Amino acid sequence: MVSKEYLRLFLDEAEEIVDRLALNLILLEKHPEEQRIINEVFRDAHTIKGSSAAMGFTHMAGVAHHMENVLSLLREGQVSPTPPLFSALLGGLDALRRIKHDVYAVGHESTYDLAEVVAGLSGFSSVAAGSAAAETAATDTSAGDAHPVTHRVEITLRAHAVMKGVRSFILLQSLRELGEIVRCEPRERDLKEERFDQSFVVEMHTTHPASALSDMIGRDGDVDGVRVVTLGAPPGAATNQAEKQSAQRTDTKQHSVRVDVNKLEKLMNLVGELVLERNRLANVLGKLERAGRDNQHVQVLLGVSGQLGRITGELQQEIMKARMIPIAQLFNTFPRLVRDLAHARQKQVELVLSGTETELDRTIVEEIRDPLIHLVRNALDHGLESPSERVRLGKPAEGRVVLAASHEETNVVISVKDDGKGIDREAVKHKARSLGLVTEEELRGLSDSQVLNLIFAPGLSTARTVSDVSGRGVGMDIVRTQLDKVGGSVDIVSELKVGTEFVIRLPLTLAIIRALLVSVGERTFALPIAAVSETRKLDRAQVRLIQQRECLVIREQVVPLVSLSDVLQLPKQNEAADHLVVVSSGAAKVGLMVNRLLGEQEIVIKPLGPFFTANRELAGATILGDGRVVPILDVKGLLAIMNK
Amino acid sequence: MVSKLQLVVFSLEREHYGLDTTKVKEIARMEEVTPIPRVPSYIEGVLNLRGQILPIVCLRKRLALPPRQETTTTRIVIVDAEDLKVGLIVDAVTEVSDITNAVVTPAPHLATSSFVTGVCQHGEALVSLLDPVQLFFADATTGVK
Repeated sequence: MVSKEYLRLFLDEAEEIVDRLALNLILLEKHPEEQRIINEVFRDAHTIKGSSAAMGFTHMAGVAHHMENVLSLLREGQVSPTPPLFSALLGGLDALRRIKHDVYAVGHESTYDLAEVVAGLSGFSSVAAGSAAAETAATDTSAGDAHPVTHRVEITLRAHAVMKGVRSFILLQSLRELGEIVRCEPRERDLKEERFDQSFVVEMHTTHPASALSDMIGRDGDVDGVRVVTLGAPPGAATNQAEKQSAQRTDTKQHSVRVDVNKLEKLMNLVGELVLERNRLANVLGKLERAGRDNQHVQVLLGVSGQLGRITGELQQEIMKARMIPIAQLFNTFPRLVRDLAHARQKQVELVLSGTETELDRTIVEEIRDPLIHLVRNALDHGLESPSERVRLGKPAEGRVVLAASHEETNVVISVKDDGKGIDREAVKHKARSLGLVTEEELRGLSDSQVLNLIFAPGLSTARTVSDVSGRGVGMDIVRTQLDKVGGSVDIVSELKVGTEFVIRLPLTLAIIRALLVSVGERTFALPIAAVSETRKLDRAQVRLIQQRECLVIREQVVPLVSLSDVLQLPKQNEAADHLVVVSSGAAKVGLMVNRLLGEQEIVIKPLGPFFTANRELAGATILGDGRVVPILDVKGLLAIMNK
Repeated sequence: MVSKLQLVVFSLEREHYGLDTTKVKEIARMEEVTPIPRVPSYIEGVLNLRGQILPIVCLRKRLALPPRQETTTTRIVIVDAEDLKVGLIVDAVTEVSDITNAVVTPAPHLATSSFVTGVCQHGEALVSLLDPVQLFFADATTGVK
């Protein structure tokens, strides 16, 4: 039975390979002439076949085997790179992914009906078999002509290679495909049970040249070096003592280790606590100093505290960086999505990815997956015209969707852009009116960007036909909701007949935010700065009543006023709440009346836990320098409970 | 049922309550609790326990007993309930005691809630055994989870 640790390592590797295969298969379909890609795809299929077989996952190994067969034929030019061929390969990949998911969930394979997948794949190998038969016969003869030679293969694994046993097993399997292994040092069983350091030696008879052996072994990422020494013909044949030595592969791979997300999370929490403790220390020292007790020791402590502050600051930065992952991990799932959707909709699409190296907090990457998928689907479904329509309009038949990421100050900006038909304002207005979202009069007062923003209203969709993925009008409002949740925003730029661009702005990280501290009576609350549009002293003379609700006209916009104390149902108090904090969520704006503004500062967000899940108005809590806990308000939730 | 018990015993309104020591993480002095808006009244708020934010439940309010001013003996018992740490405000912690040959009888029907899993004789006193999960997660009025 395999250990948990092995299983985890296997799954990590499988995940990496499956993701890379997904990307490369799509690339290969577009550029079938690229040898580099086909070699990599072939290698990946081969590796996953070997490692899943070693782990005893026979279904997985079986599917990978069939994929490898097809890929091998493709590489030799015996089958053509047609869309059905790639669909079959992608079908195989989906099966691998499904099985991997099961293994991840329950630790073993379950039963699968893989007949269709396998038939799809082996269909191609049997087609090729006929045409290849003659050729194979020819190669066989030529192979028969060559005399096998004995080689000694010295393999050194990387110092940090994991699953050495499995790795050596896979390498031996690969070598067996090229010839007959006659000796193994240490013995094969010892290798399998990891009773060796970094190196092992294999002697084998093969008709393949030494370079083929070293290439095959050297391709494995966990191999540090390989040396093939030709010993000559096997006993009985003429000997050739010439020692051929292949180029030693010295690897300059980046050194990295995988870290469990939970461990990272824990580290982040600990650093958060360290920051809080540092703040407390500074706070107490400040008090001591002010109290005139600044003797020599206090001065030393102040120095220590300053130094501690610098170090914790740096530590925090570094751990923050460790939480960042390149957005490539998310972007790379899109080529497949676009391919499948383009096929289904009979549209021609070129997907361009840019800025894939842009790094973003991993939590945010998770949260924006669905909104991005929705936007890209929309671009294909409603943005891009059909190829014939495009040609008629004088556009290239192939539409273009650009998914780009970049940094902009402390934000990451992601843009989803198409060169399709653009958003029809009149259609949006018409729909909004018929749904009763706006009145005719209100519509007249709306700016162009306000009209475009109507598409985020619940229930609004301008699609004429309802498709299975988008166009049900439930999408865009959810896109906005989900982006709101991670403190992001979305803007639309759209020109009729030219195209549409969605520009998403996201914070780099979620754990630390800038907040405005306000007080209501004796209580303090934090408001994320991102949601605050302005603060001002309330001038009672300016307050107007609209439908019995107090409002203020700020730059020609009517902003309803509410007392934060009332919204949060806090005990009544006498002090006048005459400071105004204007907050916004999406298009909604509200003026919150509070007693005092206490200033801005960086705060660490801590979750409040399951006890307070019903409190939609709270985003969490933070601990101030003096140890006090302060609830952080969630503006969207605040507006929601206000309207109840 | 006869068994060996180790209990943290605390008093409340001249009654004794006990929690299994394996469920008690630590006993802290009363500190400033930050109130949280819009929660049931028995949730007193949250506490900063060395950088961790814990919800705080007032046992008096939870058991619908009359409120009382905080005194020097008031303690917060940090309880582990299904992987969640919760602070429980009690009037005083009287002792941590081993009860060998503890006889636990089911809670009498007149007990107002399902927070009490049983009653056990300890010297002269009767100790009501509390179920933390019921205490923190069950519905306030019915005691049903």
